[in-house]
Amino acid sequence: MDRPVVKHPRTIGEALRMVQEPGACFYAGGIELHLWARRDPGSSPPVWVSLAGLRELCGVRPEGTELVLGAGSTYSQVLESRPDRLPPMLREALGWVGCEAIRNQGTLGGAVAAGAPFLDLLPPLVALEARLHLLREGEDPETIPVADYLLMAPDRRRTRLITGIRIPGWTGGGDCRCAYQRYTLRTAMDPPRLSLAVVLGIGGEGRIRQARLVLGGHRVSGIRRMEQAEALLEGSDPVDGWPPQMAAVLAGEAELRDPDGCGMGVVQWLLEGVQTRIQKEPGGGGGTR
Amino acid sequence: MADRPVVNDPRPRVDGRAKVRGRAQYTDDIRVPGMLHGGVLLSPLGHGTVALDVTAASRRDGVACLITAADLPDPSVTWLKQPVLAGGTVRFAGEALALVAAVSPGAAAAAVRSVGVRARPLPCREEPAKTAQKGTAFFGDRDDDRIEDSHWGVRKGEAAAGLASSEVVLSARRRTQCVEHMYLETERALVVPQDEGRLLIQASVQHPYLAGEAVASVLGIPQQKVRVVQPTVGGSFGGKLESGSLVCIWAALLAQRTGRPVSLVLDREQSVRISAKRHPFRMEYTVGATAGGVLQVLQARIQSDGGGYGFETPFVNWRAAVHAAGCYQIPHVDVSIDGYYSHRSRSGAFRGFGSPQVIFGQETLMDQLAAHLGLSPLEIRRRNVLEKGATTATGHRLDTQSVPIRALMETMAERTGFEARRALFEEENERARRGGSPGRRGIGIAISFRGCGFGAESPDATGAMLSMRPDGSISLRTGLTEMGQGLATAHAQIAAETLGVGLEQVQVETVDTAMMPDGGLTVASRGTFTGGRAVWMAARDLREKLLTVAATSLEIPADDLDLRDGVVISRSDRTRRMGSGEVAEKAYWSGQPLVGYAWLNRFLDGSTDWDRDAGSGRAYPTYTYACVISEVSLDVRTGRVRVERVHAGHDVGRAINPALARGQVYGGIAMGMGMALMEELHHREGIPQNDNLDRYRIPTAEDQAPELDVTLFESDDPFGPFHAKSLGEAACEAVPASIANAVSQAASVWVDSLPVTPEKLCGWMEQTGEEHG
Repeated sequence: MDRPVVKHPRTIGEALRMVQEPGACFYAGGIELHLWARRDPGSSPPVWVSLAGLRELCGVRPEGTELVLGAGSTYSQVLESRPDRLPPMLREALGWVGCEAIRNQGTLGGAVAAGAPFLDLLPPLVALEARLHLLREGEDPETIPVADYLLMAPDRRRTRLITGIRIPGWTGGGDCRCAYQRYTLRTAMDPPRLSLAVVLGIGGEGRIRQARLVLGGHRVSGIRRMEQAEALLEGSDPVDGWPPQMAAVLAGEAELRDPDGCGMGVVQWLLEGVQTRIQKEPGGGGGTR
Repeated sequence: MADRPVVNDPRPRVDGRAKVRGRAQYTDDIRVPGMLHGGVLLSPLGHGTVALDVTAASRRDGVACLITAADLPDPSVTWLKQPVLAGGTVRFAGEALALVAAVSPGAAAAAVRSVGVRARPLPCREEPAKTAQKGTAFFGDRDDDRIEDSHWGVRKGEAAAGLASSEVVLSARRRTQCVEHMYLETERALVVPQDEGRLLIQASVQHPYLAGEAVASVLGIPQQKVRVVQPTVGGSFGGKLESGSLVCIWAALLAQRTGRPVSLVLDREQSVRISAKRHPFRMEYTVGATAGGVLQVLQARIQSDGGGYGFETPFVNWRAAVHAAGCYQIPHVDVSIDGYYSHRSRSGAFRGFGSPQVIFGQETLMDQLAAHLGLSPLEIRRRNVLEKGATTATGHRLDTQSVPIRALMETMAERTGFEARRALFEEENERARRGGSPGRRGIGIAISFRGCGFGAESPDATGAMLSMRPDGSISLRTGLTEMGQGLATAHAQIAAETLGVGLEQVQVETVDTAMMPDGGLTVASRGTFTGGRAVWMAARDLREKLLTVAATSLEIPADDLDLRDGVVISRSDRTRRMGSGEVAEKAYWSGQPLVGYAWLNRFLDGSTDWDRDAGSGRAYPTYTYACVISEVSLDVRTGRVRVERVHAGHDVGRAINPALARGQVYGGIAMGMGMALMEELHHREGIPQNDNLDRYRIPTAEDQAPELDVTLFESDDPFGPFHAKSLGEAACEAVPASIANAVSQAASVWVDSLPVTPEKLCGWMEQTGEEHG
């Protein structure tokens, strides 16, 4: 099979029109798409619509209490822009992506569009209830939760362009805490086998009012909230009152692939890791090993 | 001699400046006018039959030529035993089916993709088996798939008597995995047709002579028509011996057919497919000892997996057999090893060459025996380790060599506080178990020995030539290759020290098959040990000639002259002197070019007494020894092991360059750690599944132990240059076993296979009841 045709639109409108072509797909940093095409050339899209020249997709800007990350921004651009309102766990998750060369090339929108569970960006985005700005030729713009986008059928995703990622206002401190923990075989340059993003809203009485837990990694089939585990956590003490059955509930709810071996132990380790981070760094943080 | 010794001094690498500035020229950096780009189609099957339709591919724009097996003379098989291009049946997924030359890399790749392949899969054998299985047998008329000449035995005493005199007998099975080299630079070759049917090849190969011979043989031209010049090579570790030569053959076929220069560069997936892997071993060990821990007998039954062709398997098996009993005094030894074909990747030469596998087997078993007898791992080794005057498993009495393993082991034990830390970890782990804490620690020891050079495996011959130019500068040529290991620097230091000139005066020339006779493979850790001795001999020859010319010129007897820092000086009258350049010029104008040449063709004292049938005799002239102590931490919930410390002690004889020697050991630790904990090439129906760096994980810099401690243990050994012994391969060999033994303490399990992945470790812990998860 021949190499794909790469098209270079000059405007977002042109890009939206080009992607209407049968089998066409958007192409940003190319990290995921290149791997896919290399592994399975037969299933590679025949037309790649490059978003590389579209500057309006890049940048990081505050909007009210929220933060909007341009979908065409690379990991490095976001990290270097040091936005004040970027939740610490998201910053740390971005830093764990690949190596510097990959962070210089890969884009946030590309990662979300790829939607692979092992991508570090996704669990924190879903746990933070981030939303996506989407555009499609001939339709009104829409803004939907990242979690909903990840559940969308691939064919519906294909013609929708992610233009921005909207992160809810992050205050950190005593009433809102977050942490990201990842489990890998290697210390660096290794996508997680399992990862856990946790966001906790703390009520006036000092107990967990709202919990968001999202598992990611190679061993989960898709990125989604763990609602049973969240319900179990709500009402607990954020520092030392996590229910002992959390790990079992989380592991059961996640329906881990390859549950033999250390799956349960890793979930336990992840939970202890995020709990420790939340205690030590009330503003939130991330961790790995 | 120079005032400041050149040998045993940590001089910067002679090729270091060019490399760190990005100016070193690798094969793919070379461009020539009119160059075509090659492409190769590899088998889509691990085992099966294939038929090709090349009509469309041949007609594509930019395609200059396309070659399949049908275009080659029959048989087109090289010394690799593997067909140059497969036609009909394929035996592993690294076999090439078609070659293309085109005007651009893209056009070549598109043409390769356009070749129609009708593939009919046949059952794949992914594990070697003693008995041939229906449908997967390699030879229809035989009842097994044993690789020819791959059986070796080592026998000493009577195993039955040893078992009878043993009060404790332990048996265990061990297994090692298929490991990929993952050198940073993949295989590549540039072949340029020249006048009179000659070919100039510049290629990333480990042994240019072998590549040249293979090309000549396949093309049906005299070997002198093929000149191979080696550019900078980005790593090989044994792997490019075979795969590098294959790529040269493929590019040469395309160049011969088109009459144009052809560059062929493999991508990572192709490199992983075609290159040789570390032989997976299955081992059954039995060891017997007295109640006091004195070894009486060791038996080993080993199967190695040679993959589809197993060209190197007989050689790997020989070394594995000789080393299978370890550096212990054992009165009765019975080792038997056989190689078998499989449809997995082709196995071949890989740093260690069979030793890391058997060291893992014997050293983990030694810890198991110690535990059974209530001895510490150090104590069981103390009671059995080789020493001067002892005999090896092959019956080689070690009376002329240095045998410092006991002293080395004691030094390392003291340096690490081995016994105290092991006891401490035992207590800590017990407390953690009782308290339900997940953290564990372990410390493990492994000792090893390695025969230096080829030994009795084959003639250990090599040569060197030094020529002094009229300005006093010196060119050094050998047939041994610099692949990143630092050989050029070591050779330059040996030459400079022997001659009494500055290191900067010596230029080590790249290997060029037209300039030097074939000095044998740069393998078996013989570059410094064997090649360095040839350099030393050539330098002595040159020095003698230089002093003779100076003596005539100064009218002083040659034996009154010395050469220091590039100046010839009279010992009795230090005012009488001549610069070496001045001497060289005098020599030139008197028609006596200053050339030192030496050919070393015998290392053992006299011929070896190796008895192939009995598996006994002097296997190597001398041995290098190692003691590696590793510390690990383990989280029993996750099964993940972190290597915290590695203390590697190596008997180097004398380090020609201590900085380079340490570098070899650091690299060896990283490689050994990968084999111990994470590296394994997985196959499905014979196809490698994790064929790139995103799926095949090698340790990164961040995975290295926070503390790496290297001890270069020096001893006076009579064989190598300046007493130097081998190091390159020994640097990695005992690391997996020491880490495995450390994991065994931390997890309270016996590690019986590599790599120790978290999943595997959790499974073992579950079986033994160790709490996790």
